[in-house]
Amino acid sequence: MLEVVIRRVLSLIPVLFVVTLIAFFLQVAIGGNPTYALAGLTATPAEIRHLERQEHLNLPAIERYWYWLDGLFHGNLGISYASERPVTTELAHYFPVTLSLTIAALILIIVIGVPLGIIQGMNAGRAVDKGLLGVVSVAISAPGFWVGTVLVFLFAVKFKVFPALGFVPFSQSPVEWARHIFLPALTLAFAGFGIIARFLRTGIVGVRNEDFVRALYARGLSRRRVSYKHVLKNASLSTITILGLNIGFLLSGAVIVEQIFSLPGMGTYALQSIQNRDSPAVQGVILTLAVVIMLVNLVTDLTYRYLNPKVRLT
Amino acid sequence: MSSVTPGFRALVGPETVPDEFDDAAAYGLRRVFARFRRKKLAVAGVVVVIIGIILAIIGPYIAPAGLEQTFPSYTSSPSLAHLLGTDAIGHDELSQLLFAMRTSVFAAGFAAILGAVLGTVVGVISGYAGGWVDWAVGRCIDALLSFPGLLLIIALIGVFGAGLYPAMIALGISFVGGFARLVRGEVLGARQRGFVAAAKVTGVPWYRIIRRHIIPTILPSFIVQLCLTFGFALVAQGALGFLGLGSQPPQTSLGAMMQTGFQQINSTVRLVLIPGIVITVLATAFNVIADGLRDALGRDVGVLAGPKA
Repeated sequence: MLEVVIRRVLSLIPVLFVVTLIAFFLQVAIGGNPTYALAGLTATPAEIRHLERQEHLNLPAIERYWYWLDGLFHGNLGISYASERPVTTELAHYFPVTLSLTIAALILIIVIGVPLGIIQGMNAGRAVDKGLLGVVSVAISAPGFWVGTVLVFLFAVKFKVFPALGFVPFSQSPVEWARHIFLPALTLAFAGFGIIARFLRTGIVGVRNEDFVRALYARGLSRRRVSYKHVLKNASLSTITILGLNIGFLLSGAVIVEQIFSLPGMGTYALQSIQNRDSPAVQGVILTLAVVIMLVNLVTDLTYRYLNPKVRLT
Repeated sequence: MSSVTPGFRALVGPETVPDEFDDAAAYGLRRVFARFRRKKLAVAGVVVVIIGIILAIIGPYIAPAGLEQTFPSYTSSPSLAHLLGTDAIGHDELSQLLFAMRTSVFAAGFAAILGAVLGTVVGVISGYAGGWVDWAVGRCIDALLSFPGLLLIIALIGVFGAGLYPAMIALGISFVGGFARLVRGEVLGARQRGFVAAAKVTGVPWYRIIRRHIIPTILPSFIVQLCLTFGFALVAQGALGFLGLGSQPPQTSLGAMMQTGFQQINSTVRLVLIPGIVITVLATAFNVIADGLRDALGRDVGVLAGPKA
């Protein structure tokens, strides 16, 4: 197992390299020389040249990439042009919002999706299953931002149960945090719980048809024991993988959900930085999210391997 | 392997060559079609998609009002004069919807096809070439798929500038990774099949092997993926419009309609509800068709790829 872990981690290095290339050169392509904006209107040519040297902006892109990469290894993502604060400080401010949104959405996905999948899988082919299939299909296809706007109308405008916008940190007030995060998280969870329910259903149906299940019945085990101990355990394997893959979708969806509910998260920061042509900030956001997704995928893969002895050593 | 080349068929005319030569393929297609037709939900999906495409084509001609035509009633409820009411500026909502459908359906279709074509080229090259080319391309695909889809699209729009066409191209590029990974895997599988090895040994040039043996083998999963991508593209295109990065006024799209409608959320939900329903119905239809095709093609094909907004 240790060998597999090391091999998987090492195989990420070339991917990480390409990720830094894309993050950096995407931003170079967006372009814009920020020196003049940084220096201000009253800057003398000498001051501008000094600033250019300090930010390495007088160098060709490939050399700037080298300096940027060097900074990365020292945990330095540069200084944001817009706020003139280190990008890492900014990210530390925005990331927790997206993180708590994603975690809340993940909890909702599990709480809603898993029971749906189990009900469907255990009753496959019956009316309950077919009815829920429609719900799940629409949940998967409905655009998150549409669901979000409708939820805002229902819960914030019509019934005024939840606030429509804003964010309260968990450390400040867990209750207010939950109240503020509920609608965004539900919006974000919408597609995810459909996918989980569908995969769990497929998994359960597949496992139920396997020989060992029939053997368990033959041994006289109760239906309940077979269903919940053996079938579910085996069916949950692929569901874990899907849950991991979902986190990538969630981070992507967070970009738009944050806009609907005016949350100061990574998506908001990214959009705002792209509009400001704030290169270090855009590079920082894109890189951070890509690395988070890569790590989540790695952990998902390793968990799957650990739980499934059949692929543990491959 | 059919002994009749397309060149020979063209030379002697299609009628002179008996159909039996292509019987295996025709039989397979017919069987797939028959199985697909039994899936009522999938057939309903096809009907919905066809209606959607027809409306997108003829919409602007049957729209009761022009794209920029305004009426004195703002945000009015549905009435006989305005079947779906009017928006905040006094546009007829139904007409806006018809114009928006044209923009969104064609933009999404273009993006999906662009992604499919580029992704297939990359995937075939990678899978067929093997060796270090495959390794390098594989790492690039992995990297591309590590970015949150919507963020990558937005960053690309930052490069190209906001607007309908840049957004379409950015969206298409975001689908390349998914297609490339799928096609590469399928090509690797197909390459190990006996008939490909046999063709190679008998000196068939690589481009003909790809065209006549590899592409037909990967077609089923490709079609399912394409169908799923149409649905994704429609939703993602809506998301970009909603963020104001897609079509610019006076042109409208389903997402742009929802953006302007969302500004009125405190008084009415109708303006976001209607375009949203259109996107949801069409996207669901594509997903249902993909499911039906997957079952009809009788294999476990298609992966989840692309951004979900």
